Amino acid sequence: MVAPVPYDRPPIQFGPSGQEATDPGRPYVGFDRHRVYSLHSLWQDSAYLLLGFPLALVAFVVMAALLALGGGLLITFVGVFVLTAAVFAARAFAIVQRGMLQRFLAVPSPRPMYRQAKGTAMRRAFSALGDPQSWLDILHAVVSFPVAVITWLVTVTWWTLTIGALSYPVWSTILRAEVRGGVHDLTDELGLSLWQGAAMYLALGLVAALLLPPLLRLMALLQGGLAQVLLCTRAEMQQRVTTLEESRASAQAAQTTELRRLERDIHDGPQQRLIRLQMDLARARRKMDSDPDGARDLLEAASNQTRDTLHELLNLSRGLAPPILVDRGLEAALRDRGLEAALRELCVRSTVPAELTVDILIPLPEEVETTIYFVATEALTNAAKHAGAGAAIIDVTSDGRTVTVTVADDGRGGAAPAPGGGLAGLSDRVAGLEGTLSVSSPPGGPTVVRAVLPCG
Amino acid sequence: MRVVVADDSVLLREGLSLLLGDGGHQVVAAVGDGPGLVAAAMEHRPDLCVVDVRMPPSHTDEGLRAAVEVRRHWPDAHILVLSQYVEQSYADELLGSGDGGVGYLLKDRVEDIDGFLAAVAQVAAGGTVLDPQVVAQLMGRRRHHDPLATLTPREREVLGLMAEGRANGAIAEALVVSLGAVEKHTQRIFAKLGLSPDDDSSHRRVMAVLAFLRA
Repeated sequence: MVAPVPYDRPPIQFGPSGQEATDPGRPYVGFDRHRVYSLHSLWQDSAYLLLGFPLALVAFVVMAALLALGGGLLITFVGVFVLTAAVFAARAFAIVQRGMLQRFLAVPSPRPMYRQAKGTAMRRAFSALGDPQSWLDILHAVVSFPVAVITWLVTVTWWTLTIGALSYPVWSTILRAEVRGGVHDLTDELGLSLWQGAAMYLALGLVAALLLPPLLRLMALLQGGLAQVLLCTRAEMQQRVTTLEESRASAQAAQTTELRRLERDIHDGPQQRLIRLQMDLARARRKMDSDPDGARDLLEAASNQTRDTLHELLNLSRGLAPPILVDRGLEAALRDRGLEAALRELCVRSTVPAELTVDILIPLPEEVETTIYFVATEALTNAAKHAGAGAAIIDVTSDGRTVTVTVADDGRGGAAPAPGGGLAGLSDRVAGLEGTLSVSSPPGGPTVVRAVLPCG
Repeated sequence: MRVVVADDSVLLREGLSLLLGDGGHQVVAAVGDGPGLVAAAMEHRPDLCVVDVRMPPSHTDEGLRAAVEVRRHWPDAHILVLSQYVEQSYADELLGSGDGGVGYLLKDRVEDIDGFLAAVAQVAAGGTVLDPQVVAQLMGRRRHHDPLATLTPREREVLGLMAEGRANGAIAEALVVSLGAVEKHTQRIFAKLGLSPDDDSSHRRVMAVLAFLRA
């Protein structure tokens, strides 16, 4: 009898050190491929291309003027300020361009961190001039113009062609009626009757209409792609660096927390026992002559104490590195069997009866396996200690790029990561591997702990 | 003697109680945290409190805090503090909290039961006891011009034992020499180090030696 896993309430995501994370931070995806043949895409692409041209035109003109002026005046101080004005103008255009990418093409366009400087105007000018993104902005302002010309022309031409061909019967009839001297268009040139002409134009219009969406998409990709490459790649890099730094920080935090926990566990457990052992042995020594029976009892107690200490130390070392994983992990041939075997053993040893399902297709890196094991251990321990659960399930699945471990129990819920506690340590560990940990534990239960780790 | 024992570990509370029982003392209360110690000390007014430094709620120096607190309300309280590691600042704070009747020992000192019981008796009688390892650490510090260099090895031994809080008689016993020899040594030490002639009070002697060693 395994508890069902209702997931109706959205789980809370936890970031490093157990803080609640509101935005899991999707990695940069790239062009969002809307369906090419959709009216929505057509409008968006057309709007983007049509609006893009005037923007590019203005940007180009302003840039050319400022660059020429600034370059010419460079020998004097004024040149620097003019160039700075160019930089800021380019920056403004870049911001608008990024907005358009986002709005019309649904491309996530992160804004790069521009270099900030305080102080004198000179200092600010120089810092702006020294920022590589500034020059990328300027380059884009200049280079996007010819591209915009082409794409705009294609857009306008093809729209006209499509609408014109499809509405041929209408305007052709009007023209023929109104224009003196008749009309001599393609229909007449080919010697076709009016009906045949209409049919031909209709066919033409249909072909044009069919080609319109993909053609516009291509144009949008061209123009948008250029903008993306020049304006957004730096920002992506910066974001990546930040993410990596954060994950490294959480990995370090996790390690520190664990070391501290280890120190406390050793102090509270084996250390106390050994001191007591010292006391008992010293007392036994003293009693040897005066009270041999008493001494014998003390020695027996001391023997028990030693055995208990050994058990505690064994448990502690298990908490550091699960023995099976250490052994089997080294044998590449056995691969996932190591993790599955360790989890199976965990279920068997667990106070709360746990059912295990494992479905992994590819071998996992060692640190991922270890983290999965710890998630399972921590969740089961909490289920037994705090939630008073009667049953639990552990599920591990992988889709090639990520591996998801889910542990659910039917206990009384109410779990939350306290700072310095097990769940917080877990979320640090998971964040250290750039994974996500989410805990859904409403008061009254059930509790579901889910960790998603990248393994590609 | 009536003793109050304070340690957060049940194992050690029990062990200490049994040990003190063997030595003919009566454990009137055994507590597991700082506030508990203060309450028990004020209620029972024992001849001695044996206190572990690391206790809840802070798990850092709770025992020390409680000991100082007790001595604030009841200056004549005699307290022996046990610690797992040597912490100079604990020794300083304890010694500064009054005029004798305090001791600071490492937990593994209990292995020498006779020595432990002797320290218990000494602190209960108003003397001062400092763990040899604490003293060794102080004496081992290197200074610019080592004033201890002027002492003979024997005199350094005597100085160390003085810092541990032993009276002349106990020093004589430990070094297996006559009382008179020890007295001569101590006089020479005080002369060489430029300290004022020693008092009867062991506590003040310890303070003087420590002050010298720490300078």
